[in-house]
Amino acid sequence: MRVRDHKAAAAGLVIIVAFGLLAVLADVIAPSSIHQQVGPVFGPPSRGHVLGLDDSGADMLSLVLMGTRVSMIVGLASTVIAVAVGGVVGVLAGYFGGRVDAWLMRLTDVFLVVPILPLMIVVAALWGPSVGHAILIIGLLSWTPTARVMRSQVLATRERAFVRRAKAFGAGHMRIIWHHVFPRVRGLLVANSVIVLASAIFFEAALAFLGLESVTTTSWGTLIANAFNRAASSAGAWWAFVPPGACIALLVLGCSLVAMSFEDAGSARVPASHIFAGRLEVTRRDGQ
Amino acid sequence: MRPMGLNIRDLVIDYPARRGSGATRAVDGVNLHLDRGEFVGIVGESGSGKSSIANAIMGLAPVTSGEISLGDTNLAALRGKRARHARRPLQLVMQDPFEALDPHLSVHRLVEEPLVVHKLGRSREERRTRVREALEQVGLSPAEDFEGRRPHELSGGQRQRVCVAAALIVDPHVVIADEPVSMLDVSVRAGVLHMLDASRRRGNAVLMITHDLPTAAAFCDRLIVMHQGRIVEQGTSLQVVGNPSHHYTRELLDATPALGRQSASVPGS
Amino acid sequence: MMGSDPLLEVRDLNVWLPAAAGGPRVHIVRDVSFTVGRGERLGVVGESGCGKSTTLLSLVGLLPARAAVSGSIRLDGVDILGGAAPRGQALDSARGRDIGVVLQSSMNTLNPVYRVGRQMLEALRPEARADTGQARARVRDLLERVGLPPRVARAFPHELSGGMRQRVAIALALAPEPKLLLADEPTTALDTIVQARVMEVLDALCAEDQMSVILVSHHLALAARFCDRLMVMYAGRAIEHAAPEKISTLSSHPYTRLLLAATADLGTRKDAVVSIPGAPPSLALAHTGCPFEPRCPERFGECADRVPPLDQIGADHHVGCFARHTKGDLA
Repeated sequence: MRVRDHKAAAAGLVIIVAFGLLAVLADVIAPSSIHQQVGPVFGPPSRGHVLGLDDSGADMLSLVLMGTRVSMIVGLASTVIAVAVGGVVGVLAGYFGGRVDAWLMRLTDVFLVVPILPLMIVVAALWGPSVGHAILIIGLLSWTPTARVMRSQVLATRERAFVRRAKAFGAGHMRIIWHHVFPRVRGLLVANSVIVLASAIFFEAALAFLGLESVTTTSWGTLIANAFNRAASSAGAWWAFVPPGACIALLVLGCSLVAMSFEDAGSARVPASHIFAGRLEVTRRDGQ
Repeated sequence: MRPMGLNIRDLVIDYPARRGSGATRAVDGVNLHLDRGEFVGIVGESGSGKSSIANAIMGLAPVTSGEISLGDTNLAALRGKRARHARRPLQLVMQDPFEALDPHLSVHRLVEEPLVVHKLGRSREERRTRVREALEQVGLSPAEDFEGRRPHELSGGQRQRVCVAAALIVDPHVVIADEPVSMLDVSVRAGVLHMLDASRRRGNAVLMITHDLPTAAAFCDRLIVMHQGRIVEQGTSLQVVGNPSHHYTRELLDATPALGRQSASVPGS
Repeated sequence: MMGSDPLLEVRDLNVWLPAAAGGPRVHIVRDVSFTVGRGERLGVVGESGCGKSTTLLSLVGLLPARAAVSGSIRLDGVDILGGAAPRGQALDSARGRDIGVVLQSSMNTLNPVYRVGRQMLEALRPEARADTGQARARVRDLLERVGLPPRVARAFPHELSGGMRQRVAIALALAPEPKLLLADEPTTALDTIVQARVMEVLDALCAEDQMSVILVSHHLALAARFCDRLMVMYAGRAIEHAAPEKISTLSSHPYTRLLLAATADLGTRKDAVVSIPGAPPSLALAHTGCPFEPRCPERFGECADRVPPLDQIGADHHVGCFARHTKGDLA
């Protein structure tokens, strides 16, 4: 694993880290409380409120900052779940092969062909809206690309002579996986997790936008959803939905930059576009 | 009978059918006995089944039928952890030292790992001492200079010595060497071979698999010639090379370019 | 034929390869000179990294793009390295017609989607391709000469064994009737018996056509059996030129003799097989003395100071070693 394009990777990393810092420091930076009316409804950007005000007269900058925190938490937590599940499934399937591989890959295929967004909607509707549910749903439904990528890489690694030598001198499966196979695919897992993060952020926004996250939660998705529900666009208040939308776009861009800069040094190259699988598309269910 | 020798009886190895062709029989009823203190060579060409035997002995290839036993234990019947520990007295030296060593680990870690796996050496310090001894034994001396290096900082011959050290460190009874020098430069091959021979003198059995008949004849007490999965001839190296009985052995001998290190050869034809 | 001029004359060939990131560039071939007469077979032997393959590749312009080359390479009196003829033109025509190349990996370079016959037709000289019937006959003839049945022409490469594909590669190299065949470890990937058959085929073909051959090999015995003359290389330099029968005598270069002692022959006892202590010097550094000096059992004062010149010590025997020169003088 090596980084092919350092500039792009650095730029992407700066974006991701910047959003991380904003999330951590949100309540310190935020100029005012998000529950407090500080001016007129849909007040335009001004010196005091650079991103204007929302439909309840709260400061948009503060809202976006606090939304960053929730979006990043949901994104990172669900990424951890997805990468952990996908990594374990992929490594086990690739390493053991045979029947284990067949079963795990059938399972993966099932999750892969399930249309994720509708399923998320169904599950979220059944469980009720909550940040915790969003994390679980997104995490448990987006591990399949990771599993497939890891499997193919592990398949190639387990045939390498040093793995065979470890088997020959008596190393157990867990030792071989942990000491000889995993270090070989770790880089790919990191690159992959960045991509999963991007899609998780996107799915979070989609779930919120579709009203499947609690209205009292402030995230990029709920901000946009809220703006649409209060007809911000017809009121000409672009500042109510452009900033959170831009944040989503920027973070996804940052993730893509990092992911695409990674190139697998082994034989199997995995272009980032492959893992995105063209699912970043969503339409509003009431067709408005 | 003989306590810790390696015994192979009626070994058959089939490789499963691939699309278009049926199962391939790589090894077809091979019997072989290896005593401690013996240096035995299996010679043959690619596809003769010689590497399949090595892999089966090491548990890297499935055995279709037959017995591979070490002392009283039939290894072919064991699975999992018990098989791994029963195989500790068997150690393998592979063909390609460039591939066989995990590129990210230091020489110390590479040689130490078999000790850790088999829980030999109680403390970190004791293991370090044993690793150093093993490195010195294979001529990587002073060991302190080598233990911190990574494989890419070593020459091919040195890498193969690391592999030999990692094989010898667990006090094996049998060392299987699968083409141990074919990837190495001519000038360093003898060093690795003499090292295997030294381990034989200390009481190990060495089974060398090779296609290089002159080298096998020089270092092995006994030669086994394989062709299409079967043993076609076996005997002492002198017998096999000097007075071959099977036509395949004769063909192999005729095809071997010889220089005549004493007498000059005639160029051309 | 042009009298007794050598077919190929290489003078003071030097090749530098670009360095890996940050390091100094590698001086991989150093002041190598040799000739190949018409119908003569030269064996270039040495260990990995000694520059033997690079020397061969520089003859046909197959070096990496960033390699630097100096010296002269004259084929039939024409400088094919640069100089008189426009570089590209001389190289291309030489590469395509007068020099045939067989590499260790040649058997893997056949195009998998075309039948063998079609690939061979394309390799013929344009004038030989003009008449389809004759061209087909020529392909059959070439296959027959490398010991393959005519039906191989209708096969795809993947249907053939490694030995058969390597023979096809040889037939391809011979198709344009080259004057010089360059063979770099042509049988190293093959089994002993197949190797012997392929070498037999090469031997017969070269004898029929009076073709000149340069055979690069790490296998001393193989090269000695096949070639008229051997050039031993070490650390980028040619350290000995000799007829094969001279290579195993006492007057040979110490490195050559140690290399022989490191090789098992049929009937050699294991105690007689010894490795050479030490390792070759780095090619990224300049050597002031003989490159073999640090490992040489016969070294003395002068060896560390300057590179010993290749001096003639006998008929058809040149050695670059001060120890041998003195002995030669005394004799």
